[in-house]
This record gives sequence, C-alpha cells and structure tokens, in this order.
Amino acid sequence: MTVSRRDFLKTTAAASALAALGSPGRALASPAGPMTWTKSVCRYCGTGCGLYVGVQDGKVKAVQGDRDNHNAGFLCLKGFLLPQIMAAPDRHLHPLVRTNGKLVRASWDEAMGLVASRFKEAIEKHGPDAVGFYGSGQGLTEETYVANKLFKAGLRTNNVDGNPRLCMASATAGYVSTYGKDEPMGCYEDIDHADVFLIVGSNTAEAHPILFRRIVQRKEKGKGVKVIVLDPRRTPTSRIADLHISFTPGTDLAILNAMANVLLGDGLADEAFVKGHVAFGEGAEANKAFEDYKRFLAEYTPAHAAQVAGCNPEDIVKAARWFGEKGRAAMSMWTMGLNQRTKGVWANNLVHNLHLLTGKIGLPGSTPLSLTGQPNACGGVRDGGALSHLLPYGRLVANEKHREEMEKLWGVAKGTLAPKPGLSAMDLFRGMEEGKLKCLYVMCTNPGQSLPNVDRYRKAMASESSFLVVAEAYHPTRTSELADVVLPAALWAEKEGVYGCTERRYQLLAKAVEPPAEARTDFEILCELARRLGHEKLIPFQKPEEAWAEILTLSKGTPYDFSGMTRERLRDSHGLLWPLPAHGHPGTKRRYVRGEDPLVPAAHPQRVLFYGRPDKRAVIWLRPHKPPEEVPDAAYPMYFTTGRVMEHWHTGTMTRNCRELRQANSEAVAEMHPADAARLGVKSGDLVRISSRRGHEKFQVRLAEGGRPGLVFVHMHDDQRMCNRITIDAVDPVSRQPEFKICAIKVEKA
Amino acid sequence: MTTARTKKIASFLALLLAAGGGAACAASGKSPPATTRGVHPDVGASADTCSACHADATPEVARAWRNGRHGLELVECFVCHGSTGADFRLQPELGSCAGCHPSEVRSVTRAAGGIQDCFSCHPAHALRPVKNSSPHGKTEGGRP
Repeated sequence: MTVSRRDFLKTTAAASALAALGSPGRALASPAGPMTWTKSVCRYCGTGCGLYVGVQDGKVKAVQGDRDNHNAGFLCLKGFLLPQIMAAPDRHLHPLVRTNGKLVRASWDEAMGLVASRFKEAIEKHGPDAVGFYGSGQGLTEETYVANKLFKAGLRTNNVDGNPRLCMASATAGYVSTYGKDEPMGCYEDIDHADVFLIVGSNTAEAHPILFRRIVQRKEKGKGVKVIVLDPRRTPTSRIADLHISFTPGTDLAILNAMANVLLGDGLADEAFVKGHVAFGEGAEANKAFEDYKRFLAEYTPAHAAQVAGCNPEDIVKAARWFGEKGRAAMSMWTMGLNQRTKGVWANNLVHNLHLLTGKIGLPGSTPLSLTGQPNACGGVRDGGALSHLLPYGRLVANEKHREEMEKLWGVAKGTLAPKPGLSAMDLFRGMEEGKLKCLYVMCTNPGQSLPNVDRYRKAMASESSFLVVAEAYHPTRTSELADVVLPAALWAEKEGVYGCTERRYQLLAKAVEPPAEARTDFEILCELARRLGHEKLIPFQKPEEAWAEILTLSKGTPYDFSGMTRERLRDSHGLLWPLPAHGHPGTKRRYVRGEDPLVPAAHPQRVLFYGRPDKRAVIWLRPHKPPEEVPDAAYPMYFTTGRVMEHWHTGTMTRNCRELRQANSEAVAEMHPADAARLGVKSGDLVRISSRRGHEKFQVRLAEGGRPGLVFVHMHDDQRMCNRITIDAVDPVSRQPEFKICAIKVEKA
Repeated sequence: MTTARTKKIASFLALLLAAGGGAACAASGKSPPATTRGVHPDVGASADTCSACHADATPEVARAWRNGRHGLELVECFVCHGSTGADFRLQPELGSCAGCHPSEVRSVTRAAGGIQDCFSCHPAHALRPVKNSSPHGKTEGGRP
C-alpha cells in the first residue's frame, strides 16, 4: 500500500508507539551461501571510491567499501545501494531499430549493419565532419579510447566530444591557462593537512560526500581548522562552515578579486614565491607585471565587491585573512558553481590566483583541487583527449607537432588527423539542428535530459534528417526515446576497464558478472563498428587490456606519463596516481614538487617547478568581474540555478532504480526562500510554473530557509520535471561549457 | 475526508497493528511471519526525504540523527533501516553496518560471546563514537 506524506504524518505516531514496544532483533540479512568479492570502483561521482562487488549465483548482491583505498572503506548512500542498478526493470536487453516511427527489436547484425551503412553514407555524401561521437565521463578509459581513435584517425573527424564538456571543461581550461598543463597538482591526502578550506561553488556534502567526510574528520582532528563556504545557497556543506558567504549568483569573481586585494593590503602575499614562480597576464597573454596586478586589484576593495555581490565586506576580509594567514595550509575546492558559467575559466583562474599570490601551493594541505563530477571524466575523456580540440595526453588537434606524434603512434599516414578542432558538445547538437551533422553516436550519457535549453536540442535529436545511435544500459531514457538505434550496453560490474578520478588516481574495475541477455560492452560494440567501417587494422583489439597496453605507450614521455601502470599493477593496487613513469615508481601525490614529481629534477634549486609553461612560471591572470549571460529583469525577475542532491545522480537513470532512492528527493521541486514564497502567495507543496525565455516547467514548492531571496534551486535528476527546459545554453567562450548555474526566470502559481 | 481516504487510512492502521504484533512476537523470541516484516508504510516515489517527514513525526529521533555523525554526513535513514513497506527494518541488521564498517562488525561478531548489536555501545541515531573502550582493535583491510 502506498500512502501520501500527509497520511504518513497522521499515522506515524501510531507506528512509533508500536515500535517502542520492543526491538525484533532479526538475523543478519547476508544472503546464505558463499559470496565472491571482486575489486572495483564506485559507478557514481568523481571521488572514485574503492569497493568490492559481492556476487552470488552470478548476480551482484552486495558491495563493500575498500578499506585499503582512499575512502577507507566508506561509501555514500548511493554507492551502498549499487547492487540495485544491475537488475533494474528498464535494463536494455536487445537492440532496437526505429521502423515506421517505432523502436522495434532487431538482431545485433541488423542494428550494427544499419549504423555502419548510415555512417558510411553520410561520410561519402557529406564528408567526415558529417558524423560525430558524444561520449561520457562514465565510459571506461579503453572504451573512450577506441571511440576517439576510430573517429579521429579512422573516420578522420574531430567531432568527438562528451558530457565532461558540460561538467569540467572550465576547470580544464583554468588549469591549462594558469599552469600550462591540465589536472590538479594536489591529492586527497592534502585534506588531512589543510588548516583552511575554501569551498566555492561546491555542495561537497551532497555531491562528494566521502570527501566531505574527510574534511569533517580533518576539522575534528586539526587545530583551529577553518572552513569557508562561498555559495549563494546555504547547503548541508555549510553545516561545517566557520564562515558562509552568500552572494548574488555570478558575482564571486568580484569576491575572489577582493580577497586578493586584502591579501596584498595585509601583507599576506608571498613576494619571494611570486618573484620566483609567477607571471602575470591579461586576455590570453602573460604580458603583465606584479605592479599591473596591484593596480588592477585596487578597484576590488571589500566594500566594492560586497556591494556588487550583496554580501558583507567584513566577511570577505575575514575569508582572505584566514586563507592567507602565514604558516597555515590552505586548500580550495570547487566544482560546478564555478565551472558551469560563461565566466567559468576566469572564475577558475581567480581561485588559482589566491594560491599563487600566497605561495600556498605544492605543500601538504596547500593546493587548488577541482572536484570532478563523473567517475572517469578525468581519466577517460580529459586525459585521454576525447574532446574535440584534444588528442591523447595533453596533445592538441591544432598543434602540427602533436598531430604528427599521434599519427606516428597510431601508425597512420601523415596528414590523416584533421588540423581543425571539431564540434564541442553544444555545437554537435547545433550541428544536428542545422542539418550539418547527419549521424551522431551517443555512448553512456543522456543529452535528451542533460543539455541546457534541452527542448531545442531534443527537436534536433528527434528530427528525421539526423541519425541518432544511443548505446545505453537502460531504455527508455529521455535520449534513447529519440534514437534511431538503441544498442544494449553492459553496465559497470559487467565489464572490465580503468577509471581515473579527481586526484589523478587510476583504478581498474574488474569484471564481476556477465551482461544480461544480449547486452554487450561498449568496447565490443565500438570494435565491431570499427570492423564494419573498414578500420579493423586501426582497432585490432580483442580485449580491453590490449587497448590499455597501447594507451601506456601514448602517455610515455608526456607530463601524464603512467607507462609504469601495467595491468598487473592496477590489478594489485588500490589506485595509483600519475605521473608513474616506471614499473617500480610509487606514483605522484603532488605534481610540480621537487622530490615528489618525477618530472622535476632532483637537483632543482627551488621546491616547485611549474614546468607546464615555457617560462616555467604559473600565471596570475587579471580577470575582471563580469556578470553572467542573463540576469533578472522586469520580465524575468528571479535567478534560477540547478544542481545535485544527495540521493540522486545525473539524469537519475541509475538512482531511480534504487527503491530507497526513489523514495527520497526523486521528484524535482522548486526550492525557494520563504520570503519569495510569501511574496508569490505560495506555500510548501503548491505547484508553480517556472518560465525562462527558453521554456517552462511545473514544480512543487519547497521552502528553503537556507535559500537566498530571489533565487530558485531545482535539482537536475528528474526525467519528468526537467530543469533543463529552463536553463540557458550560452557557453564560456574558452571552455565552451554552458552556464547551467545561472539564468533569469519568472515564477507563477500554477 | 472522502470515504475512500478513510478506508485507506483505516487499512493502513490495520497493517501497522499487524506489523506491531509481529515486532512484539519477534521480541518474544518467535519468528515473525513474513507478511509482518514492515512497520513503516510504503511511501512511494517522493519529493521529500525521510528526515523531512520524521522532523514532524519523530522529532527526537530526527534530531539525534541530524546532530550525529550520520546526519552530518547525510547517511540517511534507509542505509540502516532499508526501504519502506515490506523492506523496512525497524532494527538495523549488522549486515547494513558492515557495508561501511566491515572490520568493526567482524571484530565484534568474531569475539567469544560476541556483541551482536552495534547499538548497545553506540546510541541509536546519534551513533556517537565511544572513547577508551573499543573492542574493535586495529582496522583490517583486505578482501572481504
């Protein structure tokens, strides 16, 4: 029997009274009989928690955290419930092909034959850039590698991108512009040494709960540890905050510049570090001096920034002084609050500026650590170069030398790789809309729900003029329902491969069970597609470990060098951090640091060497505050923002299949401040219609005391009430990442 | 209130009473019948969380959880108590605890005359660590 919340509240008193009669004390719930345990990694966020998969009778029955991994055996509630995603009723079991407008069951041969013929036809008629691949930070490294190699070196198009473009492209561009190389230099262990945490644009408690747990532990054990949270909303993360600064969405650039202003004014800059390791720049050139930076910052007084941001100037001063206090280690963490912005790269630069100005970098507990949203966005897509402007391991499409290197490594003729970057995520779907992109292969992701301004692109995906292939473990999803071919993909413990998480940690997920029915691994499907497209010599792999052996050779000699990370070592380890350039190398906790990073000469006279840039300096960028693309006005007077909640993940295809999670927060609601609700004449549970210039959706109201007046939050996980009907598809001009976090709306009682 | 709604709540209360009987039966050492495992109604898909309802329905429990380590780190009710309806476990099983605390559970269940219930030392919902009296010994790693 199902009851409503109201019924529940009326009757729970009776239940509680009965419960008080006594505790049943039932037996353990462990299934009878032996369980085999296979070492793996959590399927969800970018924390990369190690776990063991418990299998009985060929089915995943349990998971248990890996004590020997960084997570010390702990899993969040989503990870704890992973077994339920495997045998879900909507697991996709057989290939489907659209026939007369309907998806009907087909054989693998029929489905793959159709995919190959449509891709061949499009390339023959319109050229290689008429096709594309849209991948995922959830695919295994070997899967993403096969797709990237097939499309770029085989089909000769750079139209290879993926959902990390929606997630962390601004973090990537932030690291590259500041240090010359992508990926964080620090590691999770830095949490155990930090004295001050600056958490900005991250609801760590809900989005990265196991890292939040580690911060909690540090705060309990460390002496006078301070936590500063910058977030327009007061989220569960702020429960451990010593200082929470709420601000008008999009104004954190002014706050971060004002913090730098205070650091300079209070003598908290490390002038020797700046002199030895830092360059200054504006626009795209490192052509400025320290004095220019000081003049630039003069405008950003705490009072001015507070006026722009709608916060207290004293709080900005306090945050800067805590961050900059001499002798104390400072660690920053951020995620989508900074990245999903049209000024996302600049916001990233401004966080790095604080570390470079104070020299609080490359020391235990002092590091800027971008938190990643997906389990293999770093390892598979970002490092593996499966974005439209990249080639593997730091190489660029637009760099002739890099193309030649890759052509040699891949054994293809010089000139095979196209010199022009391909279409990035939003541009792929705009290409479909314009009729230029004829065929798109989507793997392990759900753009029909996750793209901003989604209805615009759903029309393009559904159009008869485009051919959409979706390889998915579940059906229907909001993307597979639009597809021309839906291929049943194996899921998580049904396959083997490597994941690389936030801290440059690579880990092997071993296969624990067989895929159900006709499902196949994405690796097998892509290898089969390569054969059908005539590229069996380029993609000769029978097993993922053969691809991994090739991947190791591509990393060799690059700043990523993990050529010592053999399959055997990965099987035996509980995660390894690159660089790891030789079999016996232990891995690298902190990059750019003498004595830790193998790329820094042991005899280097200084403690760090920013070898990523030609001048061996990191750049403090002069980035002014600029408003977001869309701000409230008379017609759309409120801010709208989106994000995650604890119980669900991404588009909910997995978490909605867990009974406990379906019962908690599965319906997206409009969280708003009580003052806004009163002004609108609505109360908790009332239905409101939220509209932007792009679309509208209806949600129940939930009053949020921690909300900011004038701001509405809706989570991204509900496939029926899609927040992305409302979000804006404007992108950062450098990273091409959309501004999911901020747009203007009006709210009306429905 | 409509007749249908009255009937719905009446039948729900009947289920609760049956479930309570089961609980009492189990407490007295007899196995409860399979149909009486649940003492929590099935709430279905929801826009709320457990703690949102329980802040009203069982405020002391909700407060103890929220102010404890599990509440701070958002280890929500269902991790220990299971889902609602038939899957609900009034008394969390050690198997649930072992998902995150396998070594600690093993250390107490293996001991001679082993403790069978984490909550005899760690107060339910607050689940505070107990100082200076740990029976758990050194944390074990390795394969389960």
